[in-house]
Amino acid sequence: MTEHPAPHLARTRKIPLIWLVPLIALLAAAWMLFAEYREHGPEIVVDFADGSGIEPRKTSVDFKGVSVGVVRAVSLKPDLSGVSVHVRLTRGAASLAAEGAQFWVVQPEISFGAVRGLDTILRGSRINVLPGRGEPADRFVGLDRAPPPRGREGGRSFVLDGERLGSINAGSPVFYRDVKVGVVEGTRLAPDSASVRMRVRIEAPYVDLVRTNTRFWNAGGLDFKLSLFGGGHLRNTSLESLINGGVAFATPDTSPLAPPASEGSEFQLTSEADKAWLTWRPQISIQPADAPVNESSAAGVAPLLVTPETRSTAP
Amino acid sequence: MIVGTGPSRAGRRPETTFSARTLAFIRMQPPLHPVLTCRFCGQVHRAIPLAGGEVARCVRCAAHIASASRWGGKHAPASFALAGIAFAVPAALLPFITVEKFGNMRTGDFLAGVFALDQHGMPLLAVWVLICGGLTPLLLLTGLALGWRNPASLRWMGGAFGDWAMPDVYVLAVFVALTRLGSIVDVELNAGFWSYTAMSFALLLAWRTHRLQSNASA
Amino acid sequence: MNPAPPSPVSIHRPAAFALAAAVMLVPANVLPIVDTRLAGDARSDTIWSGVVELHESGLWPLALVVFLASFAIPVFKLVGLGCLLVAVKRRASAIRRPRALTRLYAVLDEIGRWSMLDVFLVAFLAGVVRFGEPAMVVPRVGIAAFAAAVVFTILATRAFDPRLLWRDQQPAAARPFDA
Repeated sequence: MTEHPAPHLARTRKIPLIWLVPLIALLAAAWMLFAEYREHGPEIVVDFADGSGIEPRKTSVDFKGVSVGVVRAVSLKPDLSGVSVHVRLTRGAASLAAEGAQFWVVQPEISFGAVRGLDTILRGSRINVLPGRGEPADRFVGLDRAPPPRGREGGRSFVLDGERLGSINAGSPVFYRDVKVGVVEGTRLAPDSASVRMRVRIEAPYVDLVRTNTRFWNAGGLDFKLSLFGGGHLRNTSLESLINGGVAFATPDTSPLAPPASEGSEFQLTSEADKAWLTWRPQISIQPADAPVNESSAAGVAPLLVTPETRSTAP
Repeated sequence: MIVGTGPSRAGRRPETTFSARTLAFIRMQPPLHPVLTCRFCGQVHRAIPLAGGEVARCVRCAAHIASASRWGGKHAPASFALAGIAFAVPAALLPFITVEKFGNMRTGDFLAGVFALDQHGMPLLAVWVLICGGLTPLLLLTGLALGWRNPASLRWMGGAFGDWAMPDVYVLAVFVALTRLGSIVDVELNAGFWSYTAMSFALLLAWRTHRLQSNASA
Repeated sequence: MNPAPPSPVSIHRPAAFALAAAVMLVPANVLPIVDTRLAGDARSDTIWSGVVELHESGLWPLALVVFLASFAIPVFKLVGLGCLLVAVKRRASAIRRPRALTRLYAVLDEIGRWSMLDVFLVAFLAGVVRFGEPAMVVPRVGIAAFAAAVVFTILATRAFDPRLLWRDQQPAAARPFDA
């Protein structure tokens, strides 16, 4: 019978390899937390007069249609004058939070002619932001309503003074030769309540069409004239203005042309156009209509014509 | 390395002082007569025949180690397992629930959940859910249906995979999901879910009857 | 004869897995597990906020089930495993109540799998609710961390050898009336 050799004896590892498992778990957990907080931007506070529709962890803060943050908490201000909304921005959007940034709550708005913020019916309210350009800040005062569009360099605003509003409201289009060149931004009663005032904005390429002697008239609604001999005469600028109201203008073809109207100039709004105005055909060069045409479509009109280039690039 | 009791106690209780190597050697020897080993404390019992409905408890730790099923029958596990396999086919193919929202119909089934996890960048979790909810139950069912001839390999399979088969948990999860969805959308339960539930129960019964028998005959 | 195979690994493995589970529970509870967009209700939920939301919407039996599966069971398992490991590790005296501890282990062994409830729930909802923008359920990284934690607790329970609890006990001898 052979003698079996004794096995070699050696010490086992002081720390068994199994402890690598929690170590790896620790690294993975740390990485997950790090990856999450890397996406976190600064937390800012926006004060609103009214907090309806704003809900913690639901309401999103959007910029250019993309979520750049989410509401973390809503609290009443100590003096009860409004609410403080705490917003956690994403990291990439941290630079939005600078002095001058504007915040406003977007809620669904359905008027006779305009539907805005339709997505908020389904998604709930959201907060829109326009970035500021000043120093970084973490406390802001929210606006009660959407600020007038800005950032379309070269557009110009004018003030119209009319007898009555008719069917014009904020968002109504402004036409030149039935081409939409701008939008009514706001309407209100004049301080003396003797007239109504409205602010119109003309898009960048068309600003030179408005001269100091330009005439504006109310182009909205049906204009139905029944004359004994001429039969019925129906005149309307466009279907959009039929529903939503609208403003049209014409510029006299004097020679030389009157100087372009400056920002904020005031004009009278007449209830209808003088026949002579419709015959004016001044030659005013406008900027080439490559990019800015789309700017005007952003005001609500989809481009009807598709150029061959855009069609070929479409998927 | 000596584990178990230290040398100071060696004199008092010599019979409990083992080295791991000794034990490995002892364990290699087959038992001379049928015994029933408690899987919790290792107490060895004599195997005694159990009548239907009787339960055997460990004399030392009182754990439940064997019982004789009222259903009895040597083929009970295999027949339950076959039933489970039969249910597994519609469970894999048919929708679990139908959801309607905004005039949109969607059906959800087991695999849709797995694919959704994968699509959202969690392939590992998707595989894990597939394993726990689908593959392991199926593996166990197949083993139970075929393996009654070979109890040893069946026992190994149960030890290796038994913990990872969780169809019953999945059934509960679907119920919770149903109640959550029910307040928001219109939900309807479909045949796939009932098949899956039946499969889950069949696995439970097959596994239970098998464990009772294998313990009793070990 | 006492067939417990006590080896150093039998303590280190469950302890290591339990620690890994505890570590993974941190991101699992801090990070969001699921994003839900359902008809104007867009939210990001952690495990805890999901339970609270269920409770607040009046589904408290459901809230209790999810609370037990996602919160109570993992914590109970880790604490229980800790007790077992401490009891086994302490060599100074014999383990005092092996019966109670064995029962504790049997319970831990049985309940661990129910923690997977939340993982399956998220997986199933993500598979069903795919209506695009108005209704979407998107799993987030927290659920992966939670699944890892559950897997680690199950591995820890599997790795623990309950026979260690009976290391110091005499095997029961056959009593006269057993024969």
